[in-house]
Amino acid sequence: MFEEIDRILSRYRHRVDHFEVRAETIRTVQFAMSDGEVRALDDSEEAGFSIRCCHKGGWGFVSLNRPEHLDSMAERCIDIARRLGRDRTVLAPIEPVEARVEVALIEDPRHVTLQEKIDLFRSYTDRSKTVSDRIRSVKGRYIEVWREIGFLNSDGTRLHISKLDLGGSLTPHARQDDLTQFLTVTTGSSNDFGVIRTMGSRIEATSRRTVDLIDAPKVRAGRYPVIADPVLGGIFAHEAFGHMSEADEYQTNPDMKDIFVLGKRFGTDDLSIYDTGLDVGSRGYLPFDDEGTPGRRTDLIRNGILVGRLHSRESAARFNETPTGSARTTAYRFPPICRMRNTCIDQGTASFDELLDGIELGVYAIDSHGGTGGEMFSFDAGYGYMIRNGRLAEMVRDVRLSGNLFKTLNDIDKVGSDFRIVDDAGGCGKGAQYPLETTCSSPHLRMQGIVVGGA
Amino acid sequence: MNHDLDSIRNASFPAESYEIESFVTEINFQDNELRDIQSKESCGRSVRVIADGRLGVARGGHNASHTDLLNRAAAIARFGRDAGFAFPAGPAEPITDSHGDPALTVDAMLELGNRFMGDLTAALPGWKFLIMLNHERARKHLVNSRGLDWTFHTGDFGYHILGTLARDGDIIEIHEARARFPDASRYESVIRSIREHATACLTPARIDGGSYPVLLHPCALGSFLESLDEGIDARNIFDGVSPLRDRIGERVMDERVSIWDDPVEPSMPGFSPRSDEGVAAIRKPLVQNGILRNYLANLEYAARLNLQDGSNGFRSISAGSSLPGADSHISGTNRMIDSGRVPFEDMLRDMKHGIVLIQSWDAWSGNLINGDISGSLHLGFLVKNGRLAGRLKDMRLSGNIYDLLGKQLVDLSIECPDTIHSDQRAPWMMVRDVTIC
Repeated sequence: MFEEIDRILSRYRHRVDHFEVRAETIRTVQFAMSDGEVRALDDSEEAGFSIRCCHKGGWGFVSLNRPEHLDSMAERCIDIARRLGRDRTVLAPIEPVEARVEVALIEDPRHVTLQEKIDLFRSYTDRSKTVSDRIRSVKGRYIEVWREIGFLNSDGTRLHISKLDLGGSLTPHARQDDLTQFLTVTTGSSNDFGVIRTMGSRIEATSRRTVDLIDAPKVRAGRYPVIADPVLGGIFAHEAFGHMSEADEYQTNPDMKDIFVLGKRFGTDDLSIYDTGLDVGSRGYLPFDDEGTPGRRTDLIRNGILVGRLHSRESAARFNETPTGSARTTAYRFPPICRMRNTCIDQGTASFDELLDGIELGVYAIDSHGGTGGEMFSFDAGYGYMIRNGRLAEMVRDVRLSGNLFKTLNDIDKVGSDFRIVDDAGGCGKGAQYPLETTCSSPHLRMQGIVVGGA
Repeated sequence: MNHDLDSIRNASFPAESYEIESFVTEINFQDNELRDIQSKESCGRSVRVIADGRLGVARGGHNASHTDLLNRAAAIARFGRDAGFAFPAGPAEPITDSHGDPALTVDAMLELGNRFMGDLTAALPGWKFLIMLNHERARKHLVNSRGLDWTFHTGDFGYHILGTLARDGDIIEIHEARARFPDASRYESVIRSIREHATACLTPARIDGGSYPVLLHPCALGSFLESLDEGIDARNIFDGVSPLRDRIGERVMDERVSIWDDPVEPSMPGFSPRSDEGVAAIRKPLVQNGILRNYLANLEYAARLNLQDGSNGFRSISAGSSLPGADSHISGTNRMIDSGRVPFEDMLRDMKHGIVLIQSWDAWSGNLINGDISGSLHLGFLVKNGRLAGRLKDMRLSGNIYDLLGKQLVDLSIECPDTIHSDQRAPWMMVRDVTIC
């Protein structure tokens, strides 16, 4: 792998301002399961290359999976960059690095047979179905992706990185008459099959809650104070704020830069948000990004003040800031762009009782069915409870939260002391690049005046 | 002749090879400037076998031999599910189809992008535009052990325009997209649409949460219909989680609603003369005059549910990979909704106090199987006495797709305007008593 990309780098690096080449092999083991029956079983392997170069500010990118086309595609990439370049190449400097990065495995999934993995998910399915005959269907999914990545650039960086990303989910569906409800037990890791083994401890309780949702009323639509659990808090950090921190979105838009100027207040004193690639074992663990920048913790909001954003080398240069190790690609088919890793709302001081205190009528929103980000964000809770006079009351379903990012950040008035790293089996999407493994972490949060969609 | 494929043709058990080779050109403008051009080529193949009645799959890149994939698929089949279906038989001679424009040049795409950028920045000073143009030339090749040998050459073009205006701490976004190279009149209509929406967005409006009539643009309707896609998916029918299970022949919507799946409409991007399993495509009603007529199924679920049609099995390529999907997934093709009898202008004029919703982007999450929908008013306008009276923001629409297309339906328009959902043709739809919060 290195021989080929070494040759390409040596041959073409001097013809443009910046040149980088990536080789990647991807081995995937995955299956879906429905009521114990294995579907979409796959054990596949592929290999591919990408070349990215910049000349006088013009970018070219090519990807391919026929090594015999490497030279012709390198020529094409250079032609593109030279055709588009009219100004100057803008890249923040980083120290060249040579490194070999291995996975610090706890339990190696390669030592678990496919049969054992399937049997594990079948046993979870059985345990879910014994909870109630209202559980009509249990859908499961397991995915294990191994990557070997070679990355070289014209600055002298040489990286050989091994990566594992694995995830599992199990979704019991309860049905009564015309109503279907579901919740999901989900987990993920970058170094430990053991997280799949611990899913079983949650499956019965989740199945019971799914059945209870059948009888739960829809939440009444309106504006409420909302307590978000750490899962939803993490989704909020990711969807509502994290995507707006990706600096390449507005690196050449002065009006947007004015909105996101460092030093501006975006939230209350209690609110701090950061993104980090340093949590070993989380899906967002990233010791080096896909431009070769070392991973680090990046403070985004500190005590309510905007203090940072997520950078590639180009965006960092355009903001006159430092690269943050956030340039990521889903695979060799795409160029790296600014993405999140483990996005966290930092630990606060409030107990759960203190969060409940003072809420006359509100919603406690738990778990996530996904969401979308931007200035107008929205995400779906798995379920919730009404809060009445400072106490948890009846369970409710169809809890969908939405709001305006800038208003909501200022409406977070209490942050819990129970910070938790949350890894699931999903992925983040940006443009065509989906899914990218990320982690979202948070304590419980209290937010005022959130729009809740329901009945 | 690829002799390696003879291992598939002559396999001692049912076998199928699906290969896709693709050449993609992407041109990206950001913040009113040409940013980059990307060129991507890939080739991947997937082999499915039915060994001892069980389904096995193996995938690999262009250099993976069919013989090797065949052996791997057969080895893994012991873990697989009972197939219960047969690969379709083919005629004696190979079949070749084609669709679209495989020869579109980079220069033609650049010229279009530059023209869009020039006209939009002239019409809307202060706005920043992101324009993405994409052309994919692809060759699909399907061969199975029952004699089918089908090659499908395609040339698909699409573009996406995002306009952003940031002012006074507020961010306004306008999206447009189409899946065909525009002729002069379509080019002008896209420019006009962006200009009109951008101008209308500059006036903010507010409305209290409550229940309102809503005039749904086909773009917003298309987003909400993802919920219906879940309901008519034969996997969800088989698993017993869809509310449409066992309801073929029953009324599930208003009698004015007819929805078709149409893979044989050549002017639309969902055109395909066969499914990716080789089944000949047919236009079929999903809902006809409010009556549920068909589910969407691939070969496997057609067999499981004893359905006549299993022509909706496709092989997607996930974003980060060059390989076809591990399994046939069920998907609609072009969605056609019959138009109504009322001109759009009359529907708008008769609305005293309500909402026009053009786009809602986040209606894909939540309990879709149940038909529940919840989407933001991403591009929505207050209507007062038949006129647009400003842009609504930070609000959501909630409901259930079967109610919206059933008891809440007021009218369908005569017109079926082009939308971002290029694989859909649908009218405007007026619905009553919609929850807005």
